[in-house]
Amino acid sequence: MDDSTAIQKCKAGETEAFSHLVRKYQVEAIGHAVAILGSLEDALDAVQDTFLDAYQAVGRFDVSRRFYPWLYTILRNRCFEMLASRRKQAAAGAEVVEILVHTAKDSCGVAASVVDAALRELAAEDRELLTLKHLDGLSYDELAERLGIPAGTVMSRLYYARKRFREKVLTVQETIDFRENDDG
Amino acid sequence: MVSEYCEKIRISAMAIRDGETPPLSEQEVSKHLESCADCRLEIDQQKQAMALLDGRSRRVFAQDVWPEIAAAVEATKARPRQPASVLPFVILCLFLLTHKIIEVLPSVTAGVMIKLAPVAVLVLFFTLIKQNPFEINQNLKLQGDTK
Repeated sequence: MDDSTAIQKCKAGETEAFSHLVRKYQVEAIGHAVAILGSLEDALDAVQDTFLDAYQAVGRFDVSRRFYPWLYTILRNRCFEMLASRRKQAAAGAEVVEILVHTAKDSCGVAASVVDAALRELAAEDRELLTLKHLDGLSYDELAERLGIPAGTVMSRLYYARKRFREKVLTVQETIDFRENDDG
Repeated sequence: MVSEYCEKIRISAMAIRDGETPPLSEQEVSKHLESCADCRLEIDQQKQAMALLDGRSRRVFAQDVWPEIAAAVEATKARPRQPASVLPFVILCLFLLTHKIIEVLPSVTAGVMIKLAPVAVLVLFFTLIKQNPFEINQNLKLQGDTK
């Protein structure tokens, strides 16, 4: 079943058709929510709420549009709302969840754990942008659509996000080197 | 302090690297880079940062959220919808009408306080019902609007 057929069926009140959309996009949505929230537990809550919101709004969905970019807009709003309330509550959970697949050292000689830690150190907005660009390979136009900003803004935001990311990598690497020297 | 032009060059250079259309031409960027060591260094560092992320994959989380969503959808279906109450609006209309009648009575000299009373009541009313009267309903569509 393709997305537009599933959406048409959802509009007709067939709940089961919505399960097709959930199962098709849940992995992608959880990965994206984890990248923004840095917590699997919060990401699962955000994804569940997002799909529920989408189900309730599906009657207004224009089937000529692609489903996932629309869903992503709901998801990122949810995630940033959660982040804002988490900041208000001050004490966030100490759960650390990896964003990347961890393999052996890459050609640059930097372990995935260092890259992951540097990503986690970034602001959620930077982390979201960098992962969408580099892990999902989205173009500037696609990023603009996902984030609801002009492509020109994507260009400059990406530049500054990469700059901050590089600084974080250096800081994380220095901390690891310092600890290793201290232990040795 | 980096000049605004150098920033533009760097942003454009990275956009070219990403295969996108930059605000400055490729020729202009190359020409500047030949003479600006700071920009060359910065772009090299940006490329290093990109190389750290390129080719990596997102970790896959295989949790199935459908059972929870299905339960929530069923619960939503089972819950009867509360009809919107019109009573507060009826009371507001009656107040405004009464106010207008009092205001036009020749025996009443309307002071500033009487003239401002409807504004105060309206603000209080929308505060109490927790609604924004200026909010645009995104769900409403114009006739023939297919978007």
